[in-house]
Amino acid sequence: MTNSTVDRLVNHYLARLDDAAQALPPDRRTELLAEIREHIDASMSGGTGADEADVRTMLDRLGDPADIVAAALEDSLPAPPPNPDPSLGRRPGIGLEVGAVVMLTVGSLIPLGWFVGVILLWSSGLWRRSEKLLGTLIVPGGPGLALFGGAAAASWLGAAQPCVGPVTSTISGQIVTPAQACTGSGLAPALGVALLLFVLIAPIVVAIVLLNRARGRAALVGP
Amino acid sequence: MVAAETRSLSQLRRGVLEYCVLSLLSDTSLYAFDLVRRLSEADGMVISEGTIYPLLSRLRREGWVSTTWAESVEGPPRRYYSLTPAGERALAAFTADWRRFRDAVDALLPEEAT
Repeated sequence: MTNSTVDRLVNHYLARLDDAAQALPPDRRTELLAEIREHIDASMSGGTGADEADVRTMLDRLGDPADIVAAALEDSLPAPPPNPDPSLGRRPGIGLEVGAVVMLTVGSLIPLGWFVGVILLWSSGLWRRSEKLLGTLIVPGGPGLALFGGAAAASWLGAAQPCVGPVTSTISGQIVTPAQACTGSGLAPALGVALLLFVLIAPIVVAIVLLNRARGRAALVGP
Repeated sequence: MVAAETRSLSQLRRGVLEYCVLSLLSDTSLYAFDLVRRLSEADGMVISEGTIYPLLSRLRREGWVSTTWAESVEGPPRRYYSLTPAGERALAAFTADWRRFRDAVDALLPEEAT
């Protein structure tokens, strides 16, 4: 019989494991060695007996001691509290993100509201730089300013037609409703309306996209 | 590419292996050696059997599995693993998540040639 060879193989393997396991906390190290020894014993007490080839295969399947210890190191990081109830788990809030999106859209109707939104947008950690740029650039000033600007633009385009346009000074921020804009014939009013629709809808679409991404990322981070 | 396959597989394995352990224990308790062997029989699930032991140890600490010693006909007493109620809940939650996730990935990947 090759019992001595088998014993030597097993002892050599366990010695390598013990050596590698010095990186572990003492109780983990003892536990891991006991479990691997148990595995080896269980394998050798099986009906197939334990000739040298079997033992070599078995140790091969167990794997490199260094790999096992690496896995143990990963798993011995502080465990999360036992039995976390998912319904009680607190998700990281996205209040900041909701605030940013609200200020960028509805908030832009009040003075400086949009700027507050931009500051909140850029101080969040849940968005990429490209998404923050998107939120800032569509549309600068938000729907509020865009509404005023769009109306002004419509008037101005209307003014380009042979109709009188006394509203060129409204860019300074004075409210001009679309009704006041010149509704002269031609493409200009249609263009104005399209632009108006775009600047109203695009920021809302962007806001929804941003909010969804923030929600998704907050959920990934977990409680 | 063997190397690329191994890397993506090992990343996937990292996330799902513990739930495969829970699933194997859902109907019956198993002793460690059997558990390990059954996992390594599943294609691509385990490369190094020894790395399952640290995982089992973590599942015990998390309270998802419990162990009892039982005498065996031949050889030393064996430690049997079974699922705790918390482990059952974790498995149920993962199973639902996994189905949703799998369907989403399948929908995004190119269709399998039949």
